[in-house]
Amino acid sequence: MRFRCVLGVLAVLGVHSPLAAAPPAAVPIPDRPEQLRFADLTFEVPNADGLRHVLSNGVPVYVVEDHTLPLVDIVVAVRSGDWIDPPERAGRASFTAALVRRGGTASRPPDAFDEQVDFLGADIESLANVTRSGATLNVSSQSLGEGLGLFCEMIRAPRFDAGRVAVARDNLRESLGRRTDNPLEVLGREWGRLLYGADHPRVREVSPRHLESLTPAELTAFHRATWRPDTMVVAVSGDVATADVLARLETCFAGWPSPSGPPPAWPPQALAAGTPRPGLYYVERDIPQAKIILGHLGGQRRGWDDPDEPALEVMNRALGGRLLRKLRGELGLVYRVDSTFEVDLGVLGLFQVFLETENASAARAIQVAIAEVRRLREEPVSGPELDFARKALIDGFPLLFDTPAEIAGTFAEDEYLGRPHAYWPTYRDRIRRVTPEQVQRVAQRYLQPDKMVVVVVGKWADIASGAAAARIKPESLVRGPVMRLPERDPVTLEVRGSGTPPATKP
Amino acid sequence: MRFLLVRRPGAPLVAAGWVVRTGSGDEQPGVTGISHLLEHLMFHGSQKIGTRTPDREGVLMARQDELADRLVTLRGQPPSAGRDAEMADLQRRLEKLIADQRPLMVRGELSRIYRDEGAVGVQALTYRDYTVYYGQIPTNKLSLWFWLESDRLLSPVFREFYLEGSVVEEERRQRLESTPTGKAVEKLAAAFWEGHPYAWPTLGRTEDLAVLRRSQTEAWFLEHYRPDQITAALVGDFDPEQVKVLARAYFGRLRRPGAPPPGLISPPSALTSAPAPAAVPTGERRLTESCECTPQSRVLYHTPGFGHPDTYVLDVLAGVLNGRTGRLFRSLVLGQGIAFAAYAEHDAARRGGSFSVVLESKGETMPEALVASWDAEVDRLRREPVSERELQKVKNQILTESWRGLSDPLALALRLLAAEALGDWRELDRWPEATLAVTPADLQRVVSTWLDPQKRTVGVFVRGRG
Repeated sequence: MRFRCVLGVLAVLGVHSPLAAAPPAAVPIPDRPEQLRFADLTFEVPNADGLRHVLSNGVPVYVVEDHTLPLVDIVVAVRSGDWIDPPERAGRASFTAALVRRGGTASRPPDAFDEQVDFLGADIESLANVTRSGATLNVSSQSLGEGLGLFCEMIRAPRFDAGRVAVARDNLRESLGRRTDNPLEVLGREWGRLLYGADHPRVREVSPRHLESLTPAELTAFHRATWRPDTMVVAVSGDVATADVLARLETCFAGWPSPSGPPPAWPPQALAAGTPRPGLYYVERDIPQAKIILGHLGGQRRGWDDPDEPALEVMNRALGGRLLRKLRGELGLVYRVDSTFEVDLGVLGLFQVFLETENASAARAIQVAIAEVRRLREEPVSGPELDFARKALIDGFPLLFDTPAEIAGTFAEDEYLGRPHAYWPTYRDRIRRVTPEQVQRVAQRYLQPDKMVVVVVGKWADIASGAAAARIKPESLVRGPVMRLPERDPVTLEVRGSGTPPATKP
Repeated sequence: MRFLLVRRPGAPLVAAGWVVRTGSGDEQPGVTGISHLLEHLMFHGSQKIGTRTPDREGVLMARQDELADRLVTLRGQPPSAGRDAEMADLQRRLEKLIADQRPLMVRGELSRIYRDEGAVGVQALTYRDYTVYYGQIPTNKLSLWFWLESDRLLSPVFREFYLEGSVVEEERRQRLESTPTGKAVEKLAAAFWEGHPYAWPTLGRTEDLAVLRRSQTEAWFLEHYRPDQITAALVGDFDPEQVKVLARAYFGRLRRPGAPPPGLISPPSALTSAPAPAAVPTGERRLTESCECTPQSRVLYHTPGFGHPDTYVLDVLAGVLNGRTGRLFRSLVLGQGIAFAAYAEHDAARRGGSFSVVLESKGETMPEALVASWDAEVDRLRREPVSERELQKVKNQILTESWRGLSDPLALALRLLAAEALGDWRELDRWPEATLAVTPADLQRVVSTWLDPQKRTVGVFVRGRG
């Protein structure tokens, strides 16, 4: 098979005029941008129900046709993920998903499968995270038949070839030794462990002892139990005819039974986190820039109509804007800083502020960030801040539906999560109605400066002397101790040197 | 100035940006980092944006500049009690003047207006050959983009010049000094590009940044940010006729410069028959660096710059080597089991290109040993023609990849601008066509020509404190 080059795919409406030569057209240019007048922006959320179809085996499929380019995207999600794994089986869901793609299929050994995918110029991937697993296909529309055939067989009947499983396990073992190289990875690990505890599925990591059980038989069994049509959702977008692609999917998944056992409970039952101990924790690294996360546990989703949620989104935006203005704009202490407040499904979300600054400025930056968090509780946000935060959310909203793949993907995700499609048409109104009082109320309810956990990766001697120069006592920054966290062995993640207490005072 | 317009009906957003054909490759030692610093300062406002009283600000900034000039002079002198005392005094007075200016400014106003009006991801990036400013703007507010972008090109004001250096230093700490391979990769690039303007990072050298002055940056702006060096691109849901009118009205105000643009150090056309422009070293150069990183070898070869016919062949060559069925994975990762990962990169920039491979070692394999395996692959590529099927596979991949690159509006706008900065946007259409014409013999010839072991630079990174 050969491809034809599709000329004119890129139709540039060329204007290569030497603009300066043309006399300026009669467009009045106001003195200030505020004087510009804009037409109303009309954006309506596409109608999800019109895009939804159901295969005869019950699998919902969202299809968004778009013939701009000769490409098709298909995304499949199944209810499998790290949350299902018990602690002694850490890594199973992720490793299974990875090997779905790498280990060949029932009819094709891995070499032949990979060769065929690459020859089509197709892109097929599979992956898992804490609460979902799945696979993606991107293929030219002229190769859709062949590409979809490979994709479906991979999802239904992966081979988990023993040789490829061994190579992947070897490489996984190899990668364990590198886990303490990157200061950002160290920061994320220690922060996650302090918040959730080492065994929580959100932060749990693989150890050598977990590798032995990652065998082809184990992966096959796990795949069979959790990659199943009765929890599957499909999103299709691109150069397809809806009826045609539905017929192809019908054929592709025909005669694939779900296993007799029940699928994993959904939503995941609230996965308890520990009770984090407030304090300032640091990991010693000889780097010029301290990497810092501060925050605490966030919110738990109670429903899709939780009245606190829009106010929390606005609050988080306002905080992000403030931190950027203050720490980068006014004080020049950071290059980037951001704030996150999660209201999660099942897994308890977190609230965190992430920033990076020269070691000597670390204490000052932490002090300023915490002061801003406190201020959100103590006084209502100003009118302009509220407007900014609401506007950012409202105006950024169409980006969720920017491309056909995003439209299909967002609606398929609704179905996967159990979020009603009606969530979207009313979203902007909910944000618009948020008041300064509501922001302050949710700040008082959800932000807890006294429970702040701060983790710093950096050079402590410089951090301490910078704090002293700014007349800041590190122990006064947060409630709780100032503690150096011990080094971990990268392979086992155990604390290095036996008998060392888990945390020692500096 | 040119405009490239691509209509994409869909969400009411337009990916909009402009590129200016200047970057760190235009700099010389002494002013490295000036392009990137200028990019930051372009967000500090204009005569109209970011100010309450531009005239009074001007007076304060002139006084800041006088003190800074003296400070820079003193920095070059040997330390003495007198010098140090004067410097401390100057620094204090400079900081006072910067503080005095603050009430006259409206900080971050440009970004604030964009955010308030629903623009997303408004930012800029500096590369070796170009600097690009971009974002996503609601369709109904396109005139705002025209207003603000033409305004900052008409009369930018580099407020808080003497503070921005510290933000750039923070960026350096993040990007280069606090990542596992950041410093080692920077040293390797410096050795590979020695004597060439790609030798320094776009962030610049710390010692140069410390002595840059506002007047130099203003002169740099005037010399390089000229309409005949700028192209804008818009991709999204808009009315092209309206855009043409706006473009003429707003950007038509930029003055056409009298003198021709500054010449390139080596124009791409000169490379057609000549070797790579960097001072070609005799014999292989080898560097050993320690880092807290995966032990690895990196092998770099000089290749021709953007637009040279061999660049298409080198893209195909990278395709033959990369991916799950590429030769590097099949041989080094699966077959011999000595590599954790291995991949090739081809980069054709304006003043020359590079072809490099990254070979991450596995287990007890020494990173040097991977270079020998790489040499064997090169040898095979030189001796045996690649099979028709293998070549067709790579072409199919490149072709579908070229379509993928057109799907996201912002990514497309950035690709158009990058191609314009390096040569011509039509390159986006030419690339897949030219790639489809590559033959097995082309590959053998290019491997012999450019992957010359006598002219390469090898970096060996071993685990240890950097």
